[in-house]
Amino acid sequence: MLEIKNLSVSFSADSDVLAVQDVTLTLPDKGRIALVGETGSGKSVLLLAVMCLLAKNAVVTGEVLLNGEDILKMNRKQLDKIRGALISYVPQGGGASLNPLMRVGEQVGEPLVEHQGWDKKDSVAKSVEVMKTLNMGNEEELAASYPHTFSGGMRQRAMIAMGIIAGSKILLADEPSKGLDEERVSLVVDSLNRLTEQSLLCVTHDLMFASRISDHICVLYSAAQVEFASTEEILNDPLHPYTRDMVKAIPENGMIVDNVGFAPSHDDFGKGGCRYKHRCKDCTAKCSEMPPLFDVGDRKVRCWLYEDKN
Amino acid sequence: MRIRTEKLTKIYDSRTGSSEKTIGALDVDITLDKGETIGLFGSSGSGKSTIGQMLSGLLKPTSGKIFYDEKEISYPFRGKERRNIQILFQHPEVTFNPALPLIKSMVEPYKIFNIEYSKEILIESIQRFGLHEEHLLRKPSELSGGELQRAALSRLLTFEPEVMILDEPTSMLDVISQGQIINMLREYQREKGASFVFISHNRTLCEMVCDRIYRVEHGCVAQETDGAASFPEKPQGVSQ
Ligand SMILES: Nc1ncnc2c1ncn2[C@@H]1O[C@H](COP(=O)(O)OP(=O)(O)OP(=O)(O)O)[C@@H](O)[C@H]1O
Ligand SMILES: Nc1ncnc2c1ncn2[C@@H]1O[C@H](COP(=O)(O)OP(=O)(O)OP(=O)(O)O)[C@@H](O)[C@H]1O
Ligand code: SF4
Ligand SMILES: [Mg+2]
Ligand SMILES: [Mg+2]
Repeated sequence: MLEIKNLSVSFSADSDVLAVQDVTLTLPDKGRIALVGETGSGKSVLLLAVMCLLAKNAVVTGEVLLNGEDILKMNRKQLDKIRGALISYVPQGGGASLNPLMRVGEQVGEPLVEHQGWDKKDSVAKSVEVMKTLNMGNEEELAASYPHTFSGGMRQRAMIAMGIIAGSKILLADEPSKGLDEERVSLVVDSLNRLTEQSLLCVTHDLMFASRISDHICVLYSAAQVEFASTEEILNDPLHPYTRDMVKAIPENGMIVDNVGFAPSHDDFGKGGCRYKHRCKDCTAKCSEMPPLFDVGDRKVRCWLYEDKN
Repeated sequence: MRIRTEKLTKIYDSRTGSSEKTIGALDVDITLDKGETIGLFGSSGSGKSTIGQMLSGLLKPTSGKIFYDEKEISYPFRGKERRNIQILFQHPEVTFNPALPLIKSMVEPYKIFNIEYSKEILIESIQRFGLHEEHLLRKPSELSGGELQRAALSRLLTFEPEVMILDEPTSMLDVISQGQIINMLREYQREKGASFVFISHNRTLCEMVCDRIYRVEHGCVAQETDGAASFPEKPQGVSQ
Protein backbone atom coordinates (compact mmCIF):
# COMPACT_ATOMS: atom_id res chain seq x y z
CA MET A 1 0.00 0.00 0.00
CA LEU A 2 1.14 3.50 -0.86
CA GLU A 3 -0.11 6.34 1.33
CA ILE A 4 0.58 9.89 0.29
CA LYS A 5 -0.08 12.19 3.22
CA ASN A 6 -0.22 15.98 3.05
CA LEU A 7 2.37 16.03 0.32
CA SER A 8 3.50 19.47 -0.81
CA VAL A 9 6.26 20.32 -3.24
CA SER A 10 7.66 23.73 -3.96
CA PHE A 11 10.60 24.91 -5.99
CA SER A 12 12.69 27.77 -4.87
CA ALA A 13 13.84 29.72 -7.86
CA ASP A 14 13.61 33.41 -8.74
CA SER A 15 9.99 33.19 -7.74
CA ASP A 16 8.61 30.43 -5.56
CA VAL A 17 6.62 27.75 -7.32
CA LEU A 18 4.11 25.74 -5.36
CA ALA A 19 3.73 22.73 -7.64
CA VAL A 20 1.84 20.34 -5.37
CA GLN A 21 -0.18 21.46 -2.37
CA ASP A 22 -1.22 19.24 0.49
CA VAL A 23 -2.25 16.16 -1.47
CA THR A 24 -3.48 13.15 0.48
CA LEU A 25 -4.13 10.01 -1.53
CA THR A 26 -4.08 6.31 -0.71
CA LEU A 27 -3.26 3.72 -3.33
CA PRO A 28 -4.42 0.40 -1.86
CA ASP A 29 -2.90 -2.92 -2.90
CA LYS A 30 -4.22 -3.71 -6.38
CA GLY A 31 -5.79 -0.24 -6.48
CA ARG A 32 -5.94 1.67 -9.73
CA ILE A 33 -5.99 5.44 -9.63
CA ALA A 34 -5.82 7.80 -12.58
CA LEU A 35 -4.42 11.26 -11.94
CA VAL A 36 -5.84 13.84 -14.31
CA GLY A 37 -5.99 17.62 -14.51
CA GLU A 38 -4.93 20.81 -16.23
CA THR A 39 -1.49 20.96 -17.78
CA GLY A 40 0.95 22.29 -15.19
CA SER A 41 -1.26 21.27 -12.28
CA GLY A 42 1.42 19.15 -10.60
CA LYS A 43 0.78 15.59 -11.78
CA SER A 44 4.31 14.77 -12.92
CA VAL A 45 5.88 16.49 -9.94
CA LEU A 46 3.71 14.39 -7.64
CA LEU A 47 4.96 11.16 -9.22
CA LEU A 48 8.55 12.39 -9.17
CA ALA A 49 8.19 13.24 -5.48
CA VAL A 50 6.99 9.72 -4.71
CA MET A 51 10.00 8.34 -6.59
CA CYS A 52 12.36 10.82 -4.87
CA LEU A 53 13.55 11.93 -8.27
CA LEU A 54 12.97 15.66 -7.99
CA ALA A 55 15.61 18.28 -8.73
CA LYS A 56 17.67 19.60 -5.82
CA ASN A 57 15.83 22.90 -5.57
CA ALA A 58 12.62 21.07 -4.65
CA VAL A 59 11.29 21.38 -1.12
CA VAL A 60 9.12 18.39 -0.23
CA THR A 61 6.98 18.13 2.89
CA GLY A 62 4.54 15.49 4.07
CA GLU A 63 4.87 11.71 4.01
CA VAL A 64 4.90 8.98 1.39
CA LEU A 65 4.42 5.69 3.18
CA LEU A 66 5.28 2.51 1.34
CA ASN A 67 3.94 -0.33 3.48
CA GLY A 68 4.24 2.02 6.44
CA GLU A 69 7.78 3.26 5.77
CA ASP A 70 8.35 6.84 4.72
CA ILE A 71 10.08 6.93 1.31
CA LEU A 72 10.95 10.59 1.80
CA LYS A 73 13.17 9.68 4.75
CA MET A 74 15.10 6.92 3.00
CA ASN A 75 18.74 7.25 2.07
CA ARG A 76 20.18 6.58 -1.36
CA LYS A 77 20.88 2.95 -0.65
CA GLN A 78 17.41 2.21 0.66
CA LEU A 79 15.92 4.00 -2.33
CA ASP A 80 17.97 1.96 -4.79
CA LYS A 81 16.55 -1.13 -3.17
CA ILE A 82 12.91 -0.19 -3.69
CA ARG A 83 13.06 1.65 -7.00
CA GLY A 84 12.57 -0.75 -9.87
CA ALA A 85 11.98 -3.56 -7.42
CA LEU A 86 8.97 -2.54 -5.31
CA ILE A 87 7.96 0.50 -7.25
CA SER A 88 8.63 1.37 -10.88
CA TYR A 89 8.07 4.42 -12.94
CA VAL A 90 7.33 5.24 -16.57
CA PRO A 91 8.36 8.87 -17.18
CA GLN A 92 6.42 11.37 -19.27
CA GLY A 93 9.22 12.54 -21.54
CA GLY A 94 8.94 11.14 -25.03
CA GLY A 95 12.34 11.46 -26.58
CA ALA A 96 14.64 12.42 -23.79
CA SER A 97 13.93 9.61 -21.37
CA LEU A 98 15.74 6.86 -23.23
CA ASN A 99 19.52 6.79 -23.18
CA PRO A 100 20.64 7.53 -26.76
CA LEU A 101 23.85 5.56 -26.34
CA MET A 102 22.35 2.30 -25.18
CA ARG A 103 20.58 -0.34 -27.25
CA VAL A 104 16.87 -0.42 -26.48
CA GLY A 105 16.80 -4.09 -25.48
CA GLU A 106 19.47 -3.54 -22.82
CA GLN A 107 17.67 -0.48 -21.49
CA VAL A 108 14.33 -2.21 -21.24
CA GLY A 109 15.98 -5.13 -19.45
CA GLU A 110 18.07 -2.98 -17.13
CA PRO A 111 15.73 -3.16 -14.11
CA LEU A 112 16.16 -6.95 -14.12
CA VAL A 113 19.94 -6.67 -14.13
CA GLU A 114 19.99 -3.89 -11.56
CA HIS A 115 17.50 -5.24 -9.07
CA GLN A 116 17.10 -8.95 -9.63
CA GLY A 117 20.60 -10.02 -10.60
CA TRP A 118 19.72 -11.23 -14.10
CA ASP A 119 22.52 -11.50 -16.61
CA LYS A 120 22.40 -9.12 -19.51
CA LYS A 121 21.67 -11.64 -22.24
CA ASP A 122 18.64 -13.09 -20.48
CA SER A 123 17.37 -9.62 -19.69
CA VAL A 124 17.49 -8.68 -23.38
CA ALA A 125 15.60 -11.87 -24.27
CA LYS A 126 12.99 -10.99 -21.67
CA SER A 127 12.70 -7.46 -23.00
CA VAL A 128 12.02 -8.83 -26.49
CA GLU A 129 9.23 -10.88 -24.95
CA VAL A 130 7.68 -7.89 -23.18
CA MET A 131 7.98 -5.72 -26.30
CA LYS A 132 6.12 -8.42 -28.21
CA THR A 133 3.14 -8.07 -25.88
CA LEU A 134 3.09 -4.41 -26.96
CA ASN A 135 3.23 -5.46 -30.62
CA MET A 136 6.17 -3.34 -31.68
CA GLY A 137 6.99 -5.46 -34.73
CA ASN A 138 10.44 -6.96 -35.49
CA GLU A 139 11.15 -6.92 -31.76
CA GLU A 140 14.54 -8.71 -31.99
CA GLU A 141 15.79 -6.08 -34.40
CA LEU A 142 14.36 -3.25 -32.31
CA ALA A 143 16.06 -4.59 -29.19
CA ALA A 144 19.40 -4.30 -30.97
CA SER A 145 18.67 -0.75 -32.19
CA TYR A 146 19.32 2.66 -30.72
CA PRO A 147 16.35 4.83 -29.68
CA HIS A 148 16.86 7.58 -32.31
CA THR A 149 15.61 5.22 -34.99
CA PHE A 150 12.28 4.80 -33.16
CA SER A 151 9.11 6.72 -33.92
CA GLY A 152 7.44 8.61 -31.06
CA GLY A 153 5.03 5.82 -30.27
CA MET A 154 7.76 3.18 -30.38
CA ARG A 155 9.77 5.05 -27.73
CA GLN A 156 6.66 5.38 -25.66
CA ARG A 157 6.11 1.63 -25.72
CA ALA A 158 9.76 0.90 -24.98
CA MET A 159 9.42 2.97 -21.81
CA ILE A 160 6.29 1.10 -20.79
CA ALA A 161 8.09 -2.19 -21.36
CA MET A 162 10.88 -0.98 -19.07
CA GLY A 163 8.33 -0.03 -16.42
CA ILE A 164 6.54 -3.37 -16.35
CA ILE A 165 9.42 -5.79 -16.98
CA ALA A 166 10.48 -6.29 -13.36
CA GLY A 167 6.94 -6.91 -12.11
CA SER A 168 7.20 -4.53 -9.18
CA LYS A 169 4.19 -4.22 -6.89
CA ILE A 170 3.48 -0.59 -7.63
CA LEU A 171 3.61 1.05 -11.02
CA LEU A 172 3.62 4.81 -11.48
CA ALA A 173 3.09 5.81 -15.10
CA ASP A 174 3.09 9.29 -16.59
CA GLU A 175 0.94 9.47 -19.72
CA PRO A 176 1.74 6.00 -21.02
CA SER A 177 -0.83 6.21 -23.83
CA LYS A 178 0.45 9.50 -25.21
CA GLY A 179 0.95 9.55 -28.95
CA LEU A 180 -0.38 6.05 -29.54
CA ASP A 181 -3.07 5.04 -31.98
CA GLU A 182 -6.25 3.34 -30.83
CA GLU A 183 -5.07 -0.18 -31.49
CA ARG A 184 -1.87 0.33 -29.52
CA VAL A 185 -3.64 2.14 -26.72
CA SER A 186 -5.68 -1.04 -26.39
CA LEU A 187 -2.48 -3.08 -26.12
CA VAL A 188 -1.23 -0.78 -23.37
CA VAL A 189 -4.60 -1.12 -21.60
CA ASP A 190 -4.31 -4.89 -21.85
CA SER A 191 -0.77 -4.97 -20.49
CA LEU A 192 -1.70 -2.72 -17.59
CA ASN A 193 -4.83 -4.72 -16.85
CA ARG A 194 -2.84 -7.95 -16.92
CA LEU A 195 -0.91 -6.67 -13.89
CA THR A 196 -3.68 -7.85 -11.59
CA GLU A 197 -1.40 -8.28 -8.58
CA GLN A 198 -0.06 -4.76 -8.84
CA SER A 199 -1.34 -1.32 -8.04
CA LEU A 200 -1.26 1.51 -10.52
CA LEU A 201 -1.08 5.28 -10.23
CA CYS A 202 -1.33 6.62 -13.74
CA VAL A 203 -1.24 10.20 -15.00
CA THR A 204 -3.22 10.76 -18.16
CA HIS A 205 -4.99 13.41 -20.22
CA ASP A 206 -6.97 10.81 -22.06
CA LEU A 207 -10.14 10.26 -20.06
CA MET A 208 -11.29 7.43 -22.33
CA PHE A 209 -8.02 5.68 -21.46
CA ALA A 210 -8.54 6.48 -17.77
CA SER A 211 -11.96 4.86 -17.91
CA ARG A 212 -10.36 1.61 -19.08
CA ILE A 213 -7.51 1.33 -16.60
CA SER A 214 -8.64 2.94 -13.35
CA ASP A 215 -11.23 2.42 -10.62
CA HIS A 216 -10.80 5.90 -9.14
CA ILE A 217 -9.81 9.29 -10.49
CA CYS A 218 -8.07 12.10 -8.67
CA VAL A 219 -8.40 15.51 -10.32
CA LEU A 220 -5.76 18.20 -9.78
CA TYR A 221 -6.07 21.88 -10.58
CA SER A 222 -3.36 24.45 -9.85
CA ALA A 223 -1.43 22.20 -7.45
CA ALA A 224 -4.44 21.17 -5.37
CA GLN A 225 -6.70 18.17 -5.42
CA VAL A 226 -10.15 19.36 -6.49
CA GLU A 227 -12.06 16.09 -6.78
CA PHE A 228 -11.68 12.41 -5.95
CA ALA A 229 -14.30 9.81 -6.85
CA SER A 230 -14.82 6.54 -8.66
CA THR A 231 -13.96 6.61 -12.35
CA GLU A 232 -17.57 6.11 -13.30
CA GLU A 233 -18.78 9.00 -11.13
CA ILE A 234 -16.16 11.37 -12.51
CA LEU A 235 -17.04 10.60 -16.11
CA ASN A 236 -20.83 10.39 -15.75
CA ASP A 237 -21.58 12.74 -12.88
CA PRO A 238 -18.69 15.13 -12.26
CA LEU A 239 -19.27 17.50 -9.35
CA HIS A 240 -16.52 20.11 -9.34
CA PRO A 241 -17.05 22.85 -11.97
CA TYR A 242 -13.55 22.20 -13.36
CA THR A 243 -14.22 18.49 -13.70
CA ARG A 244 -17.56 19.25 -15.36
CA ASP A 245 -15.88 21.55 -17.89
CA MET A 246 -13.19 18.93 -18.49
CA VAL A 247 -15.66 16.15 -19.23
CA LYS A 248 -17.51 18.39 -21.71
CA ALA A 249 -14.24 19.08 -23.53
CA ILE A 250 -13.50 15.42 -24.29
CA PRO A 251 -13.43 15.15 -28.12
CA GLU A 252 -15.76 12.15 -27.94
CA ASN A 253 -18.23 14.33 -26.01
CA GLY A 254 -18.09 17.05 -28.66
CA MET A 255 -15.04 19.06 -27.49
CA ILE A 256 -17.19 21.80 -26.01
CA VAL A 257 -14.92 24.54 -24.68
CA ASP A 258 -16.88 27.58 -23.55
CA ASN A 259 -14.45 28.17 -20.77
CA VAL A 260 -12.15 31.14 -21.08
CA GLY A 261 -8.67 31.75 -19.72
CA PHE A 262 -6.08 29.49 -18.15
CA ALA A 263 -4.87 28.54 -14.69
CA PRO A 264 -3.43 31.41 -12.61
CA SER A 265 0.30 31.96 -12.43
CA HIS A 266 2.08 30.62 -9.34
CA ASP A 267 2.72 34.19 -8.25
CA ASP A 268 -1.04 34.63 -7.93
CA PHE A 269 -1.67 31.52 -5.84
CA GLY A 270 -1.04 33.51 -2.70
CA LYS A 271 -3.85 35.93 -3.49
CA GLY A 272 -6.22 33.38 -2.06
CA GLY A 273 -9.61 32.12 -3.02
CA CYS A 274 -10.62 29.24 -5.23
CA ARG A 275 -8.09 28.96 -8.04
CA TYR A 276 -10.81 28.20 -10.54
CA LYS A 277 -12.86 31.30 -9.76
CA HIS A 278 -11.78 33.32 -12.84
CA ARG A 279 -13.18 30.63 -15.08
CA CYS A 280 -16.06 29.28 -13.03
CA LYS A 281 -19.67 29.97 -14.00
CA ASP A 282 -20.89 29.20 -10.47
CA CYS A 283 -18.53 31.57 -8.71
CA THR A 284 -20.02 33.50 -5.79
CA ALA A 285 -18.68 35.97 -3.22
CA LYS A 286 -17.74 33.09 -0.96
CA CYS A 287 -15.24 31.83 -3.54
CA SER A 288 -12.74 34.54 -2.70
CA GLU A 289 -11.82 32.17 0.11
CA MET A 290 -10.09 28.87 -0.72
CA PRO A 291 -12.61 26.03 -0.18
CA PRO A 292 -11.50 22.97 1.80
CA LEU A 293 -11.92 19.45 0.46
CA PHE A 294 -15.52 18.56 1.35
CA ASP A 295 -16.70 14.97 1.77
CA VAL A 296 -19.73 14.25 -0.39
CA GLY A 297 -20.65 10.66 0.37
CA ASP A 298 -17.56 8.68 -0.61
CA ARG A 299 -16.35 11.46 -2.81
CA LYS A 300 -14.22 14.48 -2.13
CA VAL A 301 -14.80 17.88 -3.74
CA ARG A 302 -13.00 21.18 -3.20
CA CYS A 303 -15.80 23.62 -3.98
CA TRP A 304 -18.14 25.78 -1.91
CA LEU A 305 -21.15 24.43 -3.80
CA TYR A 306 -20.81 21.23 -1.79
CA GLU A 307 -20.38 22.76 1.64
CA ASP A 308 -23.61 21.34 3.04
CA LYS A 309 -23.86 18.19 0.99
CA ASN A 310 -22.04 15.64 3.15
CA MET B 1 -1.95 24.87 -54.50
CA ARG B 2 0.21 25.86 -51.54
CA ILE B 3 2.09 22.58 -51.19
CA ARG B 4 2.23 19.57 -53.48
CA THR B 5 4.48 16.53 -53.35
CA GLU B 6 5.44 14.07 -56.04
CA LYS B 7 6.53 10.58 -55.05
CA LEU B 8 8.18 11.83 -51.89
CA THR B 9 10.21 8.95 -50.44
CA LYS B 10 12.44 8.37 -47.44
CA ILE B 11 14.36 5.15 -46.98
CA TYR B 12 16.28 4.97 -43.71
CA ASP B 13 19.52 3.04 -43.38
CA SER B 14 19.29 -0.08 -41.34
CA ARG B 15 19.00 0.41 -37.61
CA THR B 16 21.49 -2.23 -36.71
CA GLY B 17 24.04 -1.99 -39.51
CA SER B 18 22.60 -4.87 -41.53
CA SER B 19 21.71 -4.33 -45.17
CA GLU B 20 17.97 -4.23 -44.55
CA LYS B 21 16.50 -0.75 -44.84
CA THR B 22 13.47 0.78 -43.20
CA ILE B 23 10.83 2.49 -45.26
CA GLY B 24 9.97 5.86 -43.72
CA ALA B 25 7.78 7.11 -46.56
CA LEU B 26 7.12 5.73 -50.03
CA ASP B 27 5.89 7.60 -53.12
CA VAL B 28 3.88 10.09 -51.14
CA ASP B 29 1.62 12.36 -53.23
CA ILE B 30 -0.30 14.93 -51.24
CA THR B 31 -1.70 18.40 -51.83
CA LEU B 32 -2.42 21.23 -49.45
CA ASP B 33 -4.42 24.30 -50.43
CA LYS B 34 -4.25 27.82 -49.04
CA GLY B 35 -6.27 28.01 -45.83
CA GLU B 36 -6.77 24.26 -45.75
CA THR B 37 -6.12 21.73 -43.00
CA ILE B 38 -5.17 18.23 -44.03
CA GLY B 39 -4.78 15.38 -41.59
CA LEU B 40 -2.12 12.69 -41.59
CA PHE B 41 -3.71 9.91 -39.65
CA GLY B 42 -2.18 6.52 -39.10
CA SER B 43 -0.78 4.08 -36.64
CA SER B 44 2.43 4.45 -34.68
CA GLY B 45 5.51 4.07 -36.87
CA SER B 46 3.54 4.45 -40.10
CA GLY B 47 5.62 7.41 -41.30
CA LYS B 48 3.71 10.53 -40.25
CA SER B 49 6.62 12.35 -38.61
CA THR B 50 8.93 11.33 -41.46
CA ILE B 51 6.59 12.97 -43.98
CA GLY B 52 6.14 16.02 -41.74
CA GLN B 53 9.86 16.53 -41.37
CA MET B 54 10.46 16.28 -45.11
CA LEU B 55 7.66 18.81 -45.73
CA SER B 56 9.29 21.22 -43.32
CA GLY B 57 12.70 20.93 -44.95
CA LEU B 58 14.41 19.32 -41.99
CA LEU B 59 14.85 15.83 -43.37
CA LYS B 60 16.41 15.11 -46.73
CA PRO B 61 14.13 12.98 -48.91
CA THR B 62 15.69 9.94 -50.59
CA SER B 63 13.77 10.89 -53.72
CA GLY B 64 10.72 12.81 -54.86
CA LYS B 65 9.73 16.45 -55.11
CA ILE B 66 8.09 19.16 -53.03
CA PHE B 67 6.41 22.16 -54.65
CA TYR B 68 5.59 25.37 -52.78
CA ASP B 69 3.23 27.64 -54.71
CA GLU B 70 4.09 25.43 -57.72
CA LYS B 71 7.80 26.19 -57.46
CA GLU B 72 10.02 23.23 -56.61
CA ILE B 73 11.85 23.59 -53.32
CA SER B 74 14.57 21.32 -52.04
CA TYR B 75 16.32 20.41 -48.82
CA PRO B 76 17.59 22.44 -47.01
CA PHE B 77 15.02 25.22 -47.48
CA ARG B 78 16.31 28.70 -48.20
CA GLY B 79 14.72 32.11 -48.65
CA LYS B 80 11.07 32.71 -47.93
CA GLU B 81 10.09 29.06 -47.53
CA ARG B 82 12.50 28.77 -44.65
CA ARG B 83 10.38 31.19 -42.69
CA ASN B 84 7.00 30.39 -44.14
CA ILE B 85 6.99 26.64 -43.54
CA GLN B 86 7.34 25.68 -39.89
CA ILE B 87 6.99 22.51 -37.89
CA LEU B 88 5.85 21.87 -34.33
CA PHE B 89 7.83 18.82 -33.24
CA GLN B 90 6.20 15.78 -31.73
CA HIS B 91 8.58 16.11 -28.78
CA PRO B 92 8.53 19.82 -27.91
CA GLU B 93 11.69 19.62 -25.80
CA VAL B 94 13.86 19.45 -28.94
CA THR B 95 12.83 23.04 -29.74
CA PHE B 96 14.64 24.41 -26.71
CA ASN B 97 18.24 24.54 -25.61
CA PRO B 98 18.20 22.44 -22.41
CA ALA B 99 20.98 24.45 -20.77
CA LEU B 100 19.40 27.88 -21.14
CA PRO B 101 16.36 29.64 -19.75
CA LEU B 102 13.39 29.39 -22.08
CA ILE B 103 13.53 33.08 -22.96
CA LYS B 104 16.79 32.58 -24.89
CA SER B 105 15.15 30.10 -27.24
CA MET B 106 11.99 32.19 -27.47
CA VAL B 107 13.80 35.25 -28.85
CA GLU B 108 15.62 33.28 -31.55
CA PRO B 109 12.95 33.68 -34.26
CA TYR B 110 12.88 37.42 -33.65
CA LYS B 111 16.64 37.62 -33.99
CA ILE B 112 16.94 35.33 -37.02
CA PHE B 113 14.39 37.31 -39.00
CA ASN B 114 15.09 40.76 -37.55
CA ILE B 115 11.66 41.15 -36.03
CA GLU B 116 11.43 43.81 -33.38
CA TYR B 117 10.69 42.54 -29.91
CA SER B 118 10.60 43.48 -26.26
CA LYS B 119 10.06 41.61 -23.06
CA GLU B 120 6.46 42.80 -23.04
CA ILE B 121 5.83 41.38 -26.52
CA LEU B 122 7.30 38.05 -25.46
CA ILE B 123 5.23 37.86 -22.31
CA GLU B 124 2.08 38.74 -24.19
CA SER B 125 2.78 36.05 -26.78
CA ILE B 126 3.04 33.32 -24.14
CA GLN B 127 0.14 34.59 -22.05
CA ARG B 128 -2.17 33.83 -24.95
CA PHE B 129 -1.19 30.22 -24.33
CA GLY B 130 -1.72 30.34 -20.60
CA LEU B 131 1.95 30.73 -19.66
CA HIS B 132 3.43 33.47 -17.53
CA GLU B 133 6.63 35.45 -17.13
CA GLU B 134 7.85 32.94 -14.52
CA HIS B 135 8.05 30.24 -17.21
CA LEU B 136 10.34 32.30 -19.43
CA LEU B 137 12.98 32.45 -16.74
CA ARG B 138 13.15 28.70 -16.15
CA LYS B 139 15.02 26.01 -18.02
CA PRO B 140 13.01 23.63 -20.22
CA SER B 141 13.41 20.78 -17.71
CA GLU B 142 11.66 22.97 -15.13
CA LEU B 143 8.44 23.19 -17.12
CA SER B 144 5.67 20.62 -17.44
CA GLY B 145 5.18 18.68 -20.69
CA GLY B 146 2.14 20.67 -21.72
CA GLU B 147 3.76 23.98 -20.79
CA LEU B 148 6.68 23.19 -23.12
CA GLN B 149 4.32 22.19 -25.90
CA ARG B 150 2.47 25.51 -25.56
CA ALA B 151 5.73 27.47 -25.43
CA ALA B 152 6.89 25.72 -28.62
CA LEU B 153 3.64 26.65 -30.35
CA SER B 154 3.91 30.24 -29.21
CA ARG B 155 7.47 30.40 -30.55
CA LEU B 156 6.34 28.94 -33.85
CA LEU B 157 3.68 31.60 -34.35
CA THR B 158 6.29 34.39 -34.15
CA PHE B 159 7.45 33.24 -37.59
CA GLU B 160 3.90 33.94 -38.84
CA PRO B 161 4.15 30.85 -41.02
CA GLU B 162 1.93 30.24 -44.06
CA VAL B 163 2.25 26.51 -43.63
CA MET B 164 2.36 24.81 -40.26
CA ILE B 165 3.14 21.15 -39.75
CA LEU B 166 1.66 20.23 -36.40
CA ASP B 167 3.01 16.89 -35.21
CA GLU B 168 0.67 15.76 -32.43
CA PRO B 169 0.29 19.40 -31.30
CA THR B 170 -1.96 18.66 -28.34
CA SER B 171 -0.58 15.31 -27.21
CA MET B 172 0.52 16.73 -23.86
CA LEU B 173 -2.51 18.84 -23.11
CA ASP B 174 -5.59 18.26 -21.03
CA VAL B 175 -8.82 18.28 -23.01
CA ILE B 176 -9.81 21.85 -22.12
CA SER B 177 -6.45 23.32 -23.12
CA GLN B 178 -6.53 21.16 -26.23
CA GLY B 179 -9.86 22.68 -27.24
CA GLN B 180 -8.62 26.20 -26.49
CA ILE B 181 -5.42 25.74 -28.48
CA ILE B 182 -7.28 24.29 -31.45
CA ASN B 183 -9.66 27.24 -31.42
CA MET B 184 -6.69 29.63 -31.40
CA LEU B 185 -5.07 27.82 -34.30
CA ARG B 186 -8.32 28.05 -36.27
CA GLU B 187 -8.47 31.77 -35.57
CA TYR B 188 -4.89 32.20 -36.79
CA GLN B 189 -5.79 30.23 -39.90
CA ARG B 190 -8.81 32.44 -40.63
CA GLU B 191 -6.81 35.60 -40.11
CA LYS B 192 -3.77 34.66 -42.19
CA GLY B 193 -5.11 32.08 -44.61
CA ALA B 194 -2.53 29.67 -43.23
CA SER B 195 -2.48 25.99 -44.17
CA PHE B 196 -2.03 23.20 -41.63
CA VAL B 197 -0.80 19.65 -41.80
CA PHE B 198 -2.31 18.09 -38.69
CA ILE B 199 -0.64 14.88 -37.56
CA SER B 200 -2.59 12.85 -35.06
CA HIS B 201 -3.42 9.36 -33.97
CA ASN B 202 -6.80 10.41 -32.63
CA ARG B 203 -9.54 9.74 -35.15
CA THR B 204 -12.21 11.90 -33.51
CA LEU B 205 -9.88 14.87 -33.19
CA CYS B 206 -8.66 14.52 -36.79
CA GLU B 207 -12.21 14.50 -38.09
CA MET B 208 -13.08 17.61 -36.09
CA VAL B 209 -10.06 19.60 -37.18
CA CYS B 210 -9.32 18.56 -40.76
CA ASP B 211 -10.90 19.37 -44.11
CA ARG B 212 -9.43 16.23 -45.67
CA ILE B 213 -7.67 13.25 -44.14
CA TYR B 214 -4.87 11.15 -45.57
CA ARG B 215 -4.35 7.74 -44.07
CA VAL B 216 -0.73 6.71 -43.64
CA GLU B 217 0.21 3.03 -43.49
CA HIS B 218 3.71 1.56 -43.83
CA GLY B 219 4.98 4.83 -45.31
CA CYS B 220 2.29 4.94 -47.99
CA VAL B 221 -0.39 7.58 -48.11
CA ALA B 222 -3.93 7.37 -49.44
CA GLN B 223 -6.64 9.99 -49.25
CA GLU B 224 -9.74 8.91 -47.45
CA THR B 225 -12.98 9.08 -49.33
CA ASP B 226 -15.89 8.41 -47.02
CA GLY B 227 -13.72 6.66 -44.50
CA ALA B 228 -12.07 4.24 -46.93
CA ALA B 229 -8.53 4.42 -48.24
CA SER B 230 -6.94 1.89 -50.54
CA PHE B 231 -3.29 1.02 -50.11
CA PRO B 232 -0.80 -0.99 -52.09
CA GLU B 233 0.37 -4.29 -50.60
CA LYS B 234 2.30 -4.03 -47.34
CA PRO B 235 6.03 -3.84 -48.13
CA GLN B 236 8.16 -6.51 -46.47
CA GLY B 237 10.22 -6.00 -43.33
CA VAL B 238 8.50 -2.96 -41.90
CA SER B 239 8.30 -2.33 -38.22
CA GLN B 240 5.60 -0.21 -36.73
N1 LIG C 1 12.20 22.05 -11.44
C1 LIG C 1 11.19 22.93 -11.41
N2 LIG C 1 11.39 24.19 -11.00
C2 LIG C 1 10.40 25.09 -10.98
N3 LIG C 1 9.12 24.82 -11.34
C3 LIG C 1 8.84 23.57 -11.76
C4 LIG C 1 9.86 22.56 -11.83
N4 LIG C 1 9.29 21.43 -12.30
C5 LIG C 1 7.99 21.72 -12.50
N5 LIG C 1 7.72 23.00 -12.18
C6 LIG C 1 6.39 23.66 -12.25
O1 LIG C 1 5.51 22.96 -11.42
C7 LIG C 1 4.20 22.90 -11.98
C8 LIG C 1 3.72 21.46 -12.04
O2 LIG C 1 4.47 20.76 -13.03
P1 LIG C 1 4.12 19.28 -13.51
O3 LIG C 1 5.20 18.87 -14.45
O4 LIG C 1 3.86 18.44 -12.33
O5 LIG C 1 2.75 19.52 -14.29
P2 LIG C 1 1.81 18.41 -14.94
O6 LIG C 1 0.53 18.42 -14.19
O7 LIG C 1 2.53 17.13 -15.07
O8 LIG C 1 1.54 19.05 -16.36
P3 LIG C 1 1.50 18.39 -17.83
O9 LIG C 1 0.15 17.80 -17.94
O10 LIG C 1 1.64 19.59 -18.72
O11 LIG C 1 2.63 17.44 -17.94
C9 LIG C 1 4.30 23.55 -13.35
O12 LIG C 1 3.76 24.83 -13.32
C10 LIG C 1 5.78 23.59 -13.64
O13 LIG C 1 6.12 24.73 -14.40
N1 LIG D 1 16.65 7.68 -38.07
C1 LIG D 1 15.98 6.57 -38.37
N2 LIG D 1 16.64 5.42 -38.74
C2 LIG D 1 15.97 4.29 -39.04
N3 LIG D 1 14.63 4.18 -39.03
C3 LIG D 1 13.90 5.27 -38.68
C4 LIG D 1 14.53 6.51 -38.32
N4 LIG D 1 13.57 7.41 -38.00
C5 LIG D 1 12.38 6.76 -38.15
N5 LIG D 1 12.59 5.47 -38.55
C6 LIG D 1 11.54 4.47 -38.83
O1 LIG D 1 10.66 4.94 -39.83
C7 LIG D 1 9.33 4.52 -39.57
C8 LIG D 1 8.39 5.71 -39.55
O2 LIG D 1 8.72 6.52 -38.41
P1 LIG D 1 7.93 7.87 -38.07
O3 LIG D 1 8.63 8.50 -36.95
O4 LIG D 1 7.74 8.67 -39.30
O5 LIG D 1 6.50 7.27 -37.59
P2 LIG D 1 5.20 8.02 -37.05
O6 LIG D 1 4.08 7.70 -37.98
O7 LIG D 1 5.49 9.44 -36.81
O8 LIG D 1 4.93 7.22 -35.70
P3 LIG D 1 4.45 7.75 -34.24
O9 LIG D 1 2.97 7.92 -34.34
O10 LIG D 1 4.79 6.59 -33.36
O11 LIG D 1 5.20 8.98 -33.93
C9 LIG D 1 9.38 3.73 -38.26
O12 LIG D 1 9.45 2.37 -38.55
C10 LIG D 1 10.67 4.22 -37.63
O13 LIG D 1 11.24 3.22 -36.81
S1 SF4 E 1 -15.42 27.23 -5.08
FE1 SF4 E 1 -16.60 28.72 -6.25
S2 SF4 E 1 -15.25 29.40 -7.92
FE2 SF4 E 1 -14.40 27.54 -7.04
S3 SF4 E 1 -15.19 25.91 -8.32
FE3 SF4 E 1 -16.59 26.09 -6.59
S4 SF4 E 1 -18.17 27.53 -7.26
FE4 SF4 E 1 -16.48 27.70 -8.70
MG1 LIG F 1 3.34 16.10 -16.68
MG1 LIG G 1 5.69 10.56 -35.07
